[in-house]
Amino acid sequence: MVEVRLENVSKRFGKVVAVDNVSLDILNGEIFTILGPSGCGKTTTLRIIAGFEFPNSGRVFFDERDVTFEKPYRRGTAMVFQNYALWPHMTVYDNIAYGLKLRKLPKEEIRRRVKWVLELVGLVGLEKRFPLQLSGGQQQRVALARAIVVEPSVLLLDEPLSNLDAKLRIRMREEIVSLQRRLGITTIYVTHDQEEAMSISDRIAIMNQGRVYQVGSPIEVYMNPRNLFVATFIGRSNVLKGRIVGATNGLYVASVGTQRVSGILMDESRLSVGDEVFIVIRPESFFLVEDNEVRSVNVFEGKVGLFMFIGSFLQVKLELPDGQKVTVYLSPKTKITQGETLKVGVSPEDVKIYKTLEWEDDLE
Amino acid sequence: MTNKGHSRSQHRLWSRILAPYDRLILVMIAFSLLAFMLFLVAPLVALLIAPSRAIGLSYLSIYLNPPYIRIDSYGEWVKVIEREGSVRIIFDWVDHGVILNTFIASSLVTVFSTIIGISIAYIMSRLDFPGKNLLRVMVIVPLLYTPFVNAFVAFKIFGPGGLFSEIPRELGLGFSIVVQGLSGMILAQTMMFWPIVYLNVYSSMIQIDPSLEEQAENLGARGFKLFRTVTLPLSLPGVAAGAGIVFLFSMEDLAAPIAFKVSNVMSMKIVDSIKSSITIEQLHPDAVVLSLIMVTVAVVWFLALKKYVGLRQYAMIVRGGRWTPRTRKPGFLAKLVIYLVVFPWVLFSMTPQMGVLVYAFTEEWRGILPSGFTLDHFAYIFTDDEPSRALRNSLIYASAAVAIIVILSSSSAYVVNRFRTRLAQPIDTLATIPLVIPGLALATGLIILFGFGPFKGTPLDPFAFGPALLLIAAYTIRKSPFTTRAVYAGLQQVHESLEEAALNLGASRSKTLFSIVIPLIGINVFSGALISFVYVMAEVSTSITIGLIDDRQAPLTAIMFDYLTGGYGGGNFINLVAAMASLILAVQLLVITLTNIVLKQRYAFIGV
Ligand SMILES: Nc1ncnc2c1ncn2[C@@H]1O[C@H](COP(=O)(O)OP(=O)(O)O)[C@@H](O)[C@H]1O
Ligand SMILES: [Mg+2]
Repeated sequence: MVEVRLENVSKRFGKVVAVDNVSLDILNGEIFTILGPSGCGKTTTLRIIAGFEFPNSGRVFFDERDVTFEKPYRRGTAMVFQNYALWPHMTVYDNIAYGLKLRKLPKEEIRRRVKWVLELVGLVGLEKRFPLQLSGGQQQRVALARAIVVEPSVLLLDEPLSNLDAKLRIRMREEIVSLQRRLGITTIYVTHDQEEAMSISDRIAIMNQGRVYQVGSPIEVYMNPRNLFVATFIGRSNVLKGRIVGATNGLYVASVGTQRVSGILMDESRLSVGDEVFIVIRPESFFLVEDNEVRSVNVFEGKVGLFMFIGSFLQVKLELPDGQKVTVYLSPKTKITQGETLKVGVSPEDVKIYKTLEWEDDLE
Repeated sequence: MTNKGHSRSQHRLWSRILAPYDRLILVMIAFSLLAFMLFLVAPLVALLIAPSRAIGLSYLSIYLNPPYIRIDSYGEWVKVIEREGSVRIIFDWVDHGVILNTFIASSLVTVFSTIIGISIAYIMSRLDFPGKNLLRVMVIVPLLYTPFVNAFVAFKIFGPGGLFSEIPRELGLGFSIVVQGLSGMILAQTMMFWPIVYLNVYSSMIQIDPSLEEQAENLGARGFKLFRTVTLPLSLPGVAAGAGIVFLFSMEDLAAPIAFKVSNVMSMKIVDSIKSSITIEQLHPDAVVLSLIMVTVAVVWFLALKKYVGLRQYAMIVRGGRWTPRTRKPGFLAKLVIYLVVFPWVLFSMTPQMGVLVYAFTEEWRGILPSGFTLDHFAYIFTDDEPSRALRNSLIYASAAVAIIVILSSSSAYVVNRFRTRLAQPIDTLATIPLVIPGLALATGLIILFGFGPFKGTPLDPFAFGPALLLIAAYTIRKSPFTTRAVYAGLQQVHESLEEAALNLGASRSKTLFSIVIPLIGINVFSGALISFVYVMAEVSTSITIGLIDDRQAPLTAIMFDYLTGGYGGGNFINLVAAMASLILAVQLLVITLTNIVLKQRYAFIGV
């Protein structure tokens, strides 16, 4: 098991900057996920760690060893490819045993370990099949088995579940987590699926356009997104435009239309009055405010537009007087009708203020 | 910066540059570059600097005058002679000098072949008619390689004293036709080469997205207008490739000029001057200057085509998935054309190959009908010293060349396919360009370099040690592209991640190649090697030049040439030579069948 460290790694393909000055510190034994939209440089980063690409600048360390220009076959990583990359001319057994044979283990030992890993991934009895005779899920397991059977120091997974159907995806990700916990291999997992990332990771790095925007535990990146991109990419967020009018007790106060909103500044050290800002509030942070309650800040009064019963909550679209819309999740027991006026509040620690416009392109 | 820091950063620079390559890859790159540099680039460079060094540049002006370029031409293209109530139509030629003759002939062959090739490609790709599958097989026959002899059959059919003049005379029809000289050469080459245009254009046409034509039809374009405004423009890459190859092949063809006794063309002059260079062991300027002209034409065309096809890739815009090209039933007029023009023409184009067999299995073919079925010619090949030695030589050379080709082609195809780096890029061009470099020019360059130049006296010197090694090297370079292309096609089917998975688990590059890549594409390598083998066996240009430096080491095609051109006192060896050609034909058919079964691929070797 090793610690993987990337120091200011950049990789260009012609004019495209696939990886832009990325530094990461992946701890021994953790599941570390690289999450980001497609084309943001996740695969390239993983391939640099595996040794299939070499950075234009920066360095890669496994513990204290500089492996930046080390050949892939000397790194001791094991990768599960997005397309599985199973060798079509070899049986399941031979696919899995390949890495062990390279390590010149005795035949008996090879047989024992293949049997062990087949049990681990639930493929006993399929040894003699060829990859093309297997279902997608089974191929996935063979790819996983082939990687972990060599007891790699780092396990690399590139969107390993993206070719599976939704149900299987959830089952496989649980299996991968429980396997990883048992074996304790340092694991780097690449995905564009935030739910997948949130559910399996110890820590997540969120990437966009070649850069890492934030690294943290799932809760951290969800609760305290350090920039507008992360705030909008992870989970659902309302983004409102406002203007700074003042500051009190470490909180900034902004005007949104006629309302006053106070919240925490996330991405800069200070703001001045008059600055244009983006205010991000998660739909579930809102609560109902009774008509007779008197508050001057962090209360939004709007007209109920579309609302939908989702099951565990009620999703309501409110139209604010200045035309901006917010989505609010309320208790499913709330009684409302379309067109009525509704008052909702939010506590200041749930209001995040960002100065810099940088978010996911396909934001609704 | 301290000295130590300096060397450290230099070390990092080297690590960065070399990082993508394993030692094996570097060996592959070095081997490919070395082979092509030494046996392709260096000879051509030698050719380029020879005129100034050996001849003197002022001397070059003689090539602008007769006998090379002749303005005060004489002769007639068509003569009609009436004698004793019978009309004799003679297609002949006008001598414009060696260089112009070649360009005139090759241009005409290209124009005719292109018109015929495009028409038949259009018919085959857009019309559905009874007999189509038969026609598909028939058009391949003219491409079968029967060195020299097919042109002799063409001569037998429409040359002086041939069937076109004798049969009408016998029947008392009152007319006869003779096609001779340059006209005969042009007709014979058109018969041989038009299928090259056909194959290239056909494959362009079936790759056109049918919706492009449907769209145009939808807007009102129909019939010839549709063809002229959509189908043809989109097939132009195929036309350009096919027409260019025909021009080059025609320019360096020897079979037709020999059969029609045309000595005033560049290919014949190069052979003659190489021969005299060999005899007197001193360079004849004709070989150099005319070779240079050929190479220039070839290289300019190749680079232009590469650029043009690169720009024109839109013709192949593939909308996901496959489609079947639109075909329809021909109308009445189209049917007339198919059955009264196309079928007879294709049949006519096949006659040389069939005639080869007639010659091979008969004692004599002097009048209209051949006489005396015999297997003696074949027996003679295997029993007589000289032919059997030549056959053995050819088999040895072909085996040796193919062994090297497998390594060279696998290396260059792998490097080009997997490493799109600056170091690999030149190999891409070097590995394909031998297809278009005229063999006679390469032969001249090789003789300059290894016989007279810096490598004189090395084991590759054909004068000192005989031509065997140099021949093998020349064959390797000239015929490697066939294998390279097959391997490359195979590699495209093998996703790179299959190799990466092995490298990732700790397999070295060579282990990966042997355990993953070769098992998956071995069949491509094998069939590519077979194709190269056939083309080496049938190789003419270097065989009849370098190969004749020492009779004992001469390959089969060299003695075929020698027998036909009277090296053995007369031209009566045609039957024997035809038997040799039939052997080569048989090997070809075997290989085509094998690769068809193994790769399920059509016979479409010739194309760039
Ligand atoms: N081998 C390559 N050559 C050229 N461009 C590449 C190559 N690999 C990746 N890219 C480009 O780099 C960017 C990042 O790609 P990638 O790392 O595959 O993204 P992701 O895995 O996050 O979808 C993309 O713009 C992609 O087109
Ligand atoms: Mg990817």
